Amino acid sequence: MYTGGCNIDKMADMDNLNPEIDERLATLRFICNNNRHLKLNVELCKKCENKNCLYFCPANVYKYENDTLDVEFENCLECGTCRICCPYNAIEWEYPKDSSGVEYRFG
Amino acid sequence: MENDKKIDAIIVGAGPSGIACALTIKRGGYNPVVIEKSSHIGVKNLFGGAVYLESIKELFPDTYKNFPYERIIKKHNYVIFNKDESLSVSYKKNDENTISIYRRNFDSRLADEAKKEGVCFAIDTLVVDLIIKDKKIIGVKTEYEEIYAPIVIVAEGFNSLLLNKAGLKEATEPKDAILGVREVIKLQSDEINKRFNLKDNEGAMYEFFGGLNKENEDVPLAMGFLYTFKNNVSIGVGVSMENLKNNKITPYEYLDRLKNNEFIKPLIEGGELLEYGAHSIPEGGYKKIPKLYHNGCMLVGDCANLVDSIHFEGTNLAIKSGILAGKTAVIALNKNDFSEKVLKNYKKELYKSFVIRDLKTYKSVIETLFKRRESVFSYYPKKIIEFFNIFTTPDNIPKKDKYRNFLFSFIKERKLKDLTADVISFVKCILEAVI
Repeated sequence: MYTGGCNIDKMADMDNLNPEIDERLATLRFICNNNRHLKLNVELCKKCENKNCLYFCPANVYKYENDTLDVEFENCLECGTCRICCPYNAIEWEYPKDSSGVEYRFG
Repeated sequence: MENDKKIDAIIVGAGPSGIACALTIKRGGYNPVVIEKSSHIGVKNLFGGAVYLESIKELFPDTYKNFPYERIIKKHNYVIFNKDESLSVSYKKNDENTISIYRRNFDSRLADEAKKEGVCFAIDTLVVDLIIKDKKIIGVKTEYEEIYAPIVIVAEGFNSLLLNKAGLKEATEPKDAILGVREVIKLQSDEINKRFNLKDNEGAMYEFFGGLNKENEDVPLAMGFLYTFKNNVSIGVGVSMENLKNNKITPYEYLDRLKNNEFIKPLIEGGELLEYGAHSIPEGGYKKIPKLYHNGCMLVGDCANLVDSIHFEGTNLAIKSGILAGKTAVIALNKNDFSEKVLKNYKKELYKSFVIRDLKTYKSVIETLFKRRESVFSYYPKKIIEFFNIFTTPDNIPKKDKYRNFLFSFIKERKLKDLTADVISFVKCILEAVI
């Protein structure tokens, strides 16, 4: 049911103290579910000039490509930062169902 | 549910507050059910690194020593940064009250202990709504079914959708929230003892101030932390969401800046990144505590904003609030009255305890820190370090002249308005804390 996030090849090498966000996320296990638990109100996003969600999300879930915001909800850490920080309240936020989503080994 | 026993109380969320609450209700002779959305208890829980034994002792007076503890934190370090200079204060204590733990291990163990005493856990189940009828909360709607009970205790954590949806808590403003990001980095036990100057199972913790913004950047309300574990260290930074919202700087960029600091780098260099993570933390303090009880419902732990961010305390407040709500639930079950009239006893008890009294002590501090963040996290750290620079630099200039210049520099560098605001804020916070 889940695709393990623990990709050994991508494990960060700490000789580099600043791993890319993808390397950081590769240390986590994400249980997948096709249900999008984060949905955008695209019309509101169009109005947003700053699009600071591209910065404040700790998992880089929000990406802006070809004039559209893409939500990589599979990498969500469920912290709720986007829910609190989106200036237009444009994110419809639910917890992932079927016990999917992020899991920590240490926490 | 798997057994046909009547459910006396539903607890939403298997974190420390929820488990403490369920255990207290069970010990009072009733049947609580803890509903948890994740597949294993503790896997979605995350924090910096240390708990305080006192609260666990209250829950498990005989067995509190048997939990999966990592290291006993005996060295408490406070470090101020200014570019490549740093000033640290290290306090070595001999009591065994502060202990590093991993949230996942610890919470699942708490749950195991609760299960031994008969508390029932329903995992893999997301609660999507509270069921409200005639202004009374009478149960919960999960992703699968509706479950009814005379009392519902919400222990959902800070990111509480249930309370927002039911209108029991206002939407959180960015200034009232901190995002913590942290990494677990593997180092060998011997290496940790060597780098942190520790013996055996002794541990160290650090709080870091300043040094997170580049020149000309907004100074964030942010603090770094580091905790040692048996074979790992956890390093992280908590940043006010108000700054994250506006600054176009990612939270992990702040973390990278901390890790690359000249003081910190040698402590973690060569380690292997085992786990990255992020979690939001309530920062609103006393003024933002939502109403703690409703007909048929009580709020415990982070979802009630019970975090003391000055002392980095949260788990102990969560456990205490869980115990007190549990005791009130038992009173209500004994009386068979679940109205606000009875449940307000929880609020009364919580206000008498250290939980609310501590939050009240610091009721304006966070607000003040945010307003004066340039002073607190940039200017004064710089000046304190400047003083030590003068103190330790023999350069054939008479010391008296240097001290004078140092004192005058405050007036030269600072606007009178800023100096006055700093002094007033400082005095106000001190007065609030002691009166």
